[in-house]
Amino acid sequence: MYIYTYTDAAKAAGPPELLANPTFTFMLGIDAFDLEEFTTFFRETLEKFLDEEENFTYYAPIYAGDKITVYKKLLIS
Amino acid sequence: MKKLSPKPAPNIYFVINEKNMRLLTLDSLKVGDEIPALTIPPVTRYTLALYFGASGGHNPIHVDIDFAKLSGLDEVIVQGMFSTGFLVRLLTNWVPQPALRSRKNRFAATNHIDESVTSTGKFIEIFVVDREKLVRLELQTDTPQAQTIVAEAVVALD
Repeated sequence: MYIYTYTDAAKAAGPPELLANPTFTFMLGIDAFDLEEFTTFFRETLEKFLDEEENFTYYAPIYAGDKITVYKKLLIS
Repeated sequence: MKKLSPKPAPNIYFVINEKNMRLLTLDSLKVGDEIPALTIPPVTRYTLALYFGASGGHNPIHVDIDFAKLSGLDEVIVQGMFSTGFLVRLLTNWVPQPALRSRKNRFAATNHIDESVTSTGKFIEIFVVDREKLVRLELQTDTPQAQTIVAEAVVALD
């Protein structure tokens, strides 16, 4: 597990740099997302917003130093 | 009044059970086989607070008991992604992270503090896409009270 927090451990295990863990991109999504603005938009309060379902597809590892751009699309179902 | 949790030791979450490290090869596995389960100790408010800061998911319902009560709950609730993190560790204890191909999960119930969380998984399909050997696993997370996450993941086995 230290490959996520210690550079030396990561390099010893193979990755070229610290590796982002498999749920890290979820945090990027949250960072790109203003919760207050979102709740205001829906005229709802925060306690109504809990995750119900999530889908992830893994294409390539993310390493420390990578620059990442997040795109979001809101779908009404 | 519930007894307060003992002083938390966050590092306990970084202990890997040696039994979990045993590798299953494609030759030996078959549909219905299970991968080694992963149980984490009862979750404390302290841990939720650390995760709250780290995750960027700032819904006070996870750390502010006053807010939780105003929302009609008795207690703060565990972040879904907190439990999901351990559900995924069930996989990365077993295969290297780059072997993960996809995952979807549904939150069936909330996890509560002072409850341990157990993640389990079994193979439901072995298949090939673009000459890559893949397995589909059915995963779930349970607390002593309820099944909280139902999930599916695809992992490459080369």
